[in-house]
Amino acid sequence: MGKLLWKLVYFQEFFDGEGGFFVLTARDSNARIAGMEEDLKLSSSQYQWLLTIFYISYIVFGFLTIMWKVIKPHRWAAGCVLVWGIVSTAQAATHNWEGMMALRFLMGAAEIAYGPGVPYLLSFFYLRHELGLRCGLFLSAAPLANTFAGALAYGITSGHPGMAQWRVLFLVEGLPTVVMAAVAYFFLPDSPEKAKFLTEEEKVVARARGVAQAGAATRIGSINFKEMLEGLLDLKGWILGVS
Amino acid sequence: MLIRAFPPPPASLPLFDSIFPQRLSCVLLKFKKMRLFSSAPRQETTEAKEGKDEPDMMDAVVTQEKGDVEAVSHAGGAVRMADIDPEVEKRVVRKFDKHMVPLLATLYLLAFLDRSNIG
Repeated sequence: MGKLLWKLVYFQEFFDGEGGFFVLTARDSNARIAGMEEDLKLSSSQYQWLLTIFYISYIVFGFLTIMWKVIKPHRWAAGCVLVWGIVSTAQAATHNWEGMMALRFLMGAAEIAYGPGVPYLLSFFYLRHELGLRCGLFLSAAPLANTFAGALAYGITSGHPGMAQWRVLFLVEGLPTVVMAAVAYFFLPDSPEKAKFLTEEEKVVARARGVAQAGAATRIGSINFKEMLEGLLDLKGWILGVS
Repeated sequence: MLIRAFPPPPASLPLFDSIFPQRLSCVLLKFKKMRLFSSAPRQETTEAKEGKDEPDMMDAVVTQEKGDVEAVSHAGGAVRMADIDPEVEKRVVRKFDKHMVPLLATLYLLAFLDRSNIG
């Protein structure tokens, strides 16, 4: 079992490295092109800080992932989406660098609170040998977003509206997120037995699958601090985190 | 007595094999042999852990024909039961695929769209 875990760490390392590479290379700013830099009178280093502050809060608030276990997942997920949706939309109304910095900071916190909890939520619904593919599909949404983010931004900013184009960009890409928060609140099930789209018979089977894998039907609502400590003391997690 | 174990992973993964063409799948077969894509069956004794409503549920889950329930003694001495109707299970997994993954992935996609406006 220990050996298997080590293999998993190496394996994940491989893909993690790939991910870092793609983040470094594939990014180009859409809002910068659309006139934000001139309107807010940003210096180059101020612009770099806008990028950096996001990842600072992204790292600092990583622990918020644990809230998936404390608060009902549909509420927590919807809350995160709502916060980053509002923050993202509010970027359209900023008038200076400081305001943009504050919003980017909040956005980092809200996004880290959402992403890593999803594989955990999915593990209530899928068995181990089914989970990998679904997590892969979930994670592939990130590169998918990158493939058309530029084209979408171009489409949005190519019109001649009454306000600055970069403000329109933030509005158009932020508002759907706010709407999706409501969708998540009403349609995301906390656990298989609470899924409205399953029939009673299917719920029984879904529950039995969970029990067969984890030994307990529900794992939400409390934190076992002993388990948490064990997780923190596990060297494998640290290797992944440091690299 | 309720000692349950989940059925072992399939020898080949049909979806996996259909997604990846043959040559690539040869490379990935190494990973499969490392058991990264499949899970080892895990024996779980449920009797001690579960609440009092469990036996009712188990009765419902155990397939109607007792003949189906294979009780095989393994090296470890665990008893295996084929206790979940595979048809229903397939339907359940399909529904999860249809309702859960697209929603969560869409949200993740929006997260990346929102953050990459400055980035």
